[in-house]
Amino acid sequence: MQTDRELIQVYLKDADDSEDAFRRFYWRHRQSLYVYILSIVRNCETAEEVLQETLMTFLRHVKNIESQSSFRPWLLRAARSRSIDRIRQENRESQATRKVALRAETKSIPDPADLAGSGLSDEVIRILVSLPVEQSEVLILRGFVEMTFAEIGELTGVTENTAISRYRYAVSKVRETMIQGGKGDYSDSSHSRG
Amino acid sequence: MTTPIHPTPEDSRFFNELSRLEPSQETDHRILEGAGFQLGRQNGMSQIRRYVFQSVLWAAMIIIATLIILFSPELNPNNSSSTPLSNNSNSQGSPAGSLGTEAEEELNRDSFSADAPESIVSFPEPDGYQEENPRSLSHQNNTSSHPVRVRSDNFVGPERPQVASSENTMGSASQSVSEKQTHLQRSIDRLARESSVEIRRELIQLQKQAEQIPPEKKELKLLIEYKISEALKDLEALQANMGGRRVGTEDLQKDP
Repeated sequence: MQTDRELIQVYLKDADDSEDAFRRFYWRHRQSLYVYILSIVRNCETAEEVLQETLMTFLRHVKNIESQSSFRPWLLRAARSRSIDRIRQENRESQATRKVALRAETKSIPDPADLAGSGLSDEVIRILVSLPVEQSEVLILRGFVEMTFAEIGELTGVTENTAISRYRYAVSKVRETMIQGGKGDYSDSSHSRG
Repeated sequence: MTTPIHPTPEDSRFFNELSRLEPSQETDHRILEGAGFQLGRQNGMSQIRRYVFQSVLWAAMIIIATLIILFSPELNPNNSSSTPLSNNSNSQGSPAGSLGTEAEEELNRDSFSADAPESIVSFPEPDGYQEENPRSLSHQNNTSSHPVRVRSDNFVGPERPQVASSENTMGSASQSVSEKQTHLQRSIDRLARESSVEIRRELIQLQKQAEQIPPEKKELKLLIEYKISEALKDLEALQANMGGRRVGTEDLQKDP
């Protein structure tokens, strides 16, 4: 299996298989990036925009990125920065339009309607919306992207113990919510976005 | 009680549901299309940068070559006429125009153009070889360093008439007298040639100085013109001394 760097080198050669090389690279990272971004911005459309911006930024700077084999840490870091920038930007815009009280509250307590079109079950949406961003991103990075706590701490700028602590809080909330939801109907998985 | 971080069935169900999340096909398409555009843009920019670099490089090389030609006395076209053996090309070239004076034209016409074969170029060699002047030959053709050595028995230029005229002038005199006279003429010619070269160099230097003088400094310009005229007088005097050796065109037309 080719590494990220090998795929990008093929892509940069602008040969016949460049498109295929980038497609494989993109498919390797698209879902983890998207879910991670979504755990921060908590809006499907915004997450897709941030994903696109992240990858375009990556392609503009790919020649200067120093990496042994995988570009995943760089991509996650760029995605995190852009997601936070987007949240700040939306907060500034909401304050500028004098929807201060409502929109500010919205960011601290995200609207589940923003994730309604994601195809997720109500329990999962409730978990993502109710968790603070710091906890939800650690939850996703550990449980979905499968990073170590040391890597998570390096990415998010906290110590490893802090990352573990945040994960504990998050996973506790997940279990609590899932158990409560399990009493209802969990088998509803027909919300796939196709 | 601390929550264990090991996966539980609830965790697995949560993450399995998250794994269904993925960006829309439209986003995929935009990203892949953007990647192709970005690649084309990068290649286009690198190509433009390469063209610009090559253009700048060529321009710099041309400028450097021009400066070398202008400031190198060896390669300057004006200086290339300072050698006797390059006088034929010099008479057809631009030194008269570049100097821009009647004196220069006269200088070229009298000493280095039409009469050149008589006064300078022709040096009959008794042993059949024309004498080789390293200085002259090095200036004759700057692009070639091959030594120019011409056999007089094969040479169809002015040397053979010169040899013939020398022999005709002496008539039936003895061989030793002829050789002495030839040797004497050759010495005089060499001396005259070297002197004329020096004068010509001086004129070239003066010409360069005159070109750099701003128009408002007329006095300096006049002084340099005066120097040029002095040099011309010296050259004319030298040519007058060489006049006795000028055999005449009628001798040149004779085919031995």
